Amino acid sequence: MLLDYAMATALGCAGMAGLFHLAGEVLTLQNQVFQHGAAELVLREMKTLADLTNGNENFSGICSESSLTDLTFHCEVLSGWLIHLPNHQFETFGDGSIELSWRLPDGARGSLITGPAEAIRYP
Amino acid sequence: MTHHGHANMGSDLCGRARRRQESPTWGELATSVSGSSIVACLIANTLALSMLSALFAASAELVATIHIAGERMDQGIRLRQVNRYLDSVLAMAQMPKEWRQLKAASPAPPQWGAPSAPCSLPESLGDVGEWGGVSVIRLDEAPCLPGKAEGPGLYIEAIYPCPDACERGAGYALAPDDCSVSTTDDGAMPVRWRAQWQQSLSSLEGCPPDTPWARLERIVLSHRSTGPAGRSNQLREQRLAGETGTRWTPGEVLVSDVVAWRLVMLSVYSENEMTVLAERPQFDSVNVPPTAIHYPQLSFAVAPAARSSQPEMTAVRLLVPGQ
Repeated sequence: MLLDYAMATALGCAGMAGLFHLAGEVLTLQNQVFQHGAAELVLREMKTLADLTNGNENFSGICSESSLTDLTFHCEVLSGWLIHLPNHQFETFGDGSIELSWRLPDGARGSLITGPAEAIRYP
Repeated sequence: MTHHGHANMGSDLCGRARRRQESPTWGELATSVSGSSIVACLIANTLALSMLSALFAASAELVATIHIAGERMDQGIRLRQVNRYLDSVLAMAQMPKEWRQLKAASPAPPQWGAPSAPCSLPESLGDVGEWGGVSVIRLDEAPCLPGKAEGPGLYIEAIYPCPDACERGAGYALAPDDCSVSTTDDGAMPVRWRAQWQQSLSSLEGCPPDTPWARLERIVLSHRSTGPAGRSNQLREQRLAGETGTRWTPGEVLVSDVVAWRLVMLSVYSENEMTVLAERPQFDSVNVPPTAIHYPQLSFAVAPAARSSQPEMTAVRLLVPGQ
């Protein structure tokens, strides 16, 4: 009987562990999708602002620009989204493209790019 | 006697053995038939139950986490839905590049065209150089819009080149005033366009088949809180869909649970090679303010489903035309 119990418990534990693993994968995937959405939103606005401010692609640079008086709210919202993108980095290219990269939940780095380089990288 | 004695002794032993089998002692009870004791069974039961309760507790946490993640995903999807919709509509809010009047490359930031008034009939406007544009209107100042909406609305006049973006069904068609187009050396198309109502947009009426033409759409995006204490917040779309009068469709819900709808016009001033972006710019009164370009700034938040403790997701967009 003890052996039966032990086997049943082991099977149950294995099943639950599998379920936990699956749920963890689903959560990771959901988180990644959410992060991509956040990055897309931030990058779109960044590109817009960079184009308007004569190529100032640095996020903190744009938001600390004294002449952009009414961008405070804009920058606050974008900063709120950037919190969801750990270790985020902006990289600018000579053709005006901007790349935003961040650490994904599984430890790898994800990135999105907007501008002419986008078409080259993702034809 | 002896024989009887032996017989009695044998029957006593058999009887004891039978009695032992029929009514085991307490000590024997502790040993089960299958080889494990009741104590062992009790321990196993306790262990199994405690493990089950631990698993249930962990499962409850997992279910709660998945539920929260699901709600966040739902908010994210609705947010993306609004953004995708805006992208698709704003991409059409200008005349196609090859139909525009001026082709000269300009260092100035791109700007929206001024759309015609929402309550004016397109066919009554005559020949117009360029249709399309984006502006912020006050809904209570547009009496042609059905309903009693108030506050700001995003008004978009969109151009969809045909026949690709046209199908059967009534609508406004844009066509060159004399059905012919010509292109200048620098690639501009100095053509004036007129709008006409057609019962079917499968083809352009009154012009040769190779004439360039488009479908004209007017769209108003507005926000409305309905129900007690603004419990139902909807982002709504209305379209011009009438031949007679300025008939607009009733508000169609695009996305629900959209709150904190805010729509303002930001002005961009290029001054001394520096961009000034301000809602109410302050200039030196002696100097004449430089010409500004206006862009709508739209912000909104997507609320979670009812009875959720999730925070709202706020998005902000500066609506700038593509080049």
